Formats: sequence, structure tokens, C-alpha cells
Amino acid sequence: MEFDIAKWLNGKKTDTVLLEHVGDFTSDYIDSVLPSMENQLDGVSDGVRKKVFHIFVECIQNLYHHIEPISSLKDDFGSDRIGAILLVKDGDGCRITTGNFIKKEKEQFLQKKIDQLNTLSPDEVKRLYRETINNSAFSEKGGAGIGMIDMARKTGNKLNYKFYPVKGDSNILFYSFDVLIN
Amino acid sequence: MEKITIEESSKTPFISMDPEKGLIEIKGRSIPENSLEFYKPLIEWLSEYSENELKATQVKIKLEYFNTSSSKCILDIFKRLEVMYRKGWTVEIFWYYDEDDEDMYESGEDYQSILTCPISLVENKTF
Repeated sequence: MEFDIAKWLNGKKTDTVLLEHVGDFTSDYIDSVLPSMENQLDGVSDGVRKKVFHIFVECIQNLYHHIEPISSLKDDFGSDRIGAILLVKDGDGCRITTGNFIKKEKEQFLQKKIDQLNTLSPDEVKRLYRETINNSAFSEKGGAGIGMIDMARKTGNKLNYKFYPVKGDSNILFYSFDVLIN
Repeated sequence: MEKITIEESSKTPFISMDPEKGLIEIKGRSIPENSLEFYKPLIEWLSEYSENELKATQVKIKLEYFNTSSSKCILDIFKRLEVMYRKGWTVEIFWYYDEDDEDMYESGEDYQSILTCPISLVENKTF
């Protein structure tokens, strides 16, 4: 099983990295990182800061719920649940990048969901959000894509993603996701 | 039935549900990883409360942040209240937001668009 997370992450960095983490995303880790992440946003304008925090919480909790455990990672990382999050300054705003291993069978759902969202106007995204929250049954882990709809709505930007093959395991992909908040 | 009071934590809001006063207050951040688990006792409390004799009920809610799973749980709470409203209870929901917090204002509008019971959007720092 092989995918070079460090190389992928380096390709995502700008000159100003506000926060990065590669490893497990436990509830305790999330508890510890949120206050320091808020401090990092001191120089960011008020309107953007609140949105960044909100979307950061959605992204990090997506990792908490959706990382696919890979047993062969345990030796290198001390855990089999490995994901990555990166917060950088990008122009006047901030970009959040996440990466995690997923089962290949989830590729189609994610691709379809994000591609569809990216075609919608702001009003259509708003309507979809309201319909989804009202009518869809979703579990703690999500399932209706409400988190992504919320990100598209709050940022007004297209969501970017890419799936990378993982050498030696054709059932696993590395899912890279970016959202710009400006 | 008993009053519920839950103190605020870094990821969960202050909650007060007072059956005597008919007053429910929710205040702070609601960003737990497991929202369903957090809100379950509140939903159960409301089920029992709605079995009581008719009472005027006020809900005051002021959130700084809430994640999408909390937004669904809050809608579930509001839907319980809407059932009471349709049965003839006086139910008023006050959704507080900061002046410059457009997203929180829009969230209030989302709930207004979904529900028929009255939700007032109140621009205010505190309640």
C-alpha cells in the first residue's frame, strides 16, 4: 500500500501555512486544535474568519467520521486511521485542504455529489440545503452530503476534489478535497 | 417533570429546559462530533413535556457556531415544538444572531422556511 501523503501535501501549500496535521483525527485532537486554529486566524478579516472556523469544523469532523482504516499504515504512523488537514492563506482568503483514504466504492457518490453541487447557482444550493435538512434521513456520519452542501453555500465557491490511486490496493483511493473561503 | 440544565463546553451549548416556566434556552457553540447523542435527551424531554397540559412555551436560541449535524438536531427539536403548536399550544421561537453574522441570520431564515410555527429573528448580542 503506497501513497506519498507528504508529497501531495507539499503540493498544496502556499507561502503561508496556518495549520497542518497528518495523522489520526480523534475527538481529543479536534478539541485541542480548534482553539489554536482560532488564534491562527487573528490576521484574517472578521467575515472570513467566522466562515473559515465553521468550514474547518465541518472538514475536520468529516475526517473524524470517514477515514478508512489501513492496517499497513500502523507501523509508520502509530495509527491505522490516517488523514490530513491543511489550512493556508490563499490570496485574500483561506483554503482548507483535506485528504484521506476511502474505499473505492465511495468514489462515485462523492464525485456525483460534488459535480452536481458545482453546477448549481447560489439560490439552488440554498434550496437543496433546505430540502436536504428537512427531508433526508442522515446519520451522525452524514450520508446526504449536507456538510458539502453547507460548504458550497457558505463559500459560494466551487469545491475541488481529486481521487488518487493507491499502489498495491485497487480497492482504496486517496481522496483530496479543497475549499476556498474568501 | 424535571428541569434540565447542561453547562456549556468547548463543543456543546448551555441548555436550560424549564417545564415550570415553559422556557427553553440554548446558547453557545454546538459542534460536537456526535450531535445525535448530545441532543437525544432533549428530544426525549420534549416528548414528555408535550404530554403535559397545554402551556405557553418560549424558546430562546443563540448560537455562535453550529455544525451541520447539530442543525438537523435543532430542526428535530423545532419540529417537536411545531407539533405542540399545531395542537393549539402557544409556541414562540426566538432565533438570536449577531448584527454582522449573515450566515446565522440565514440559518434562522432556513428554519422559518421549513416550519409553520412562529420564529422571530432577533438581532442582539445576548438574551
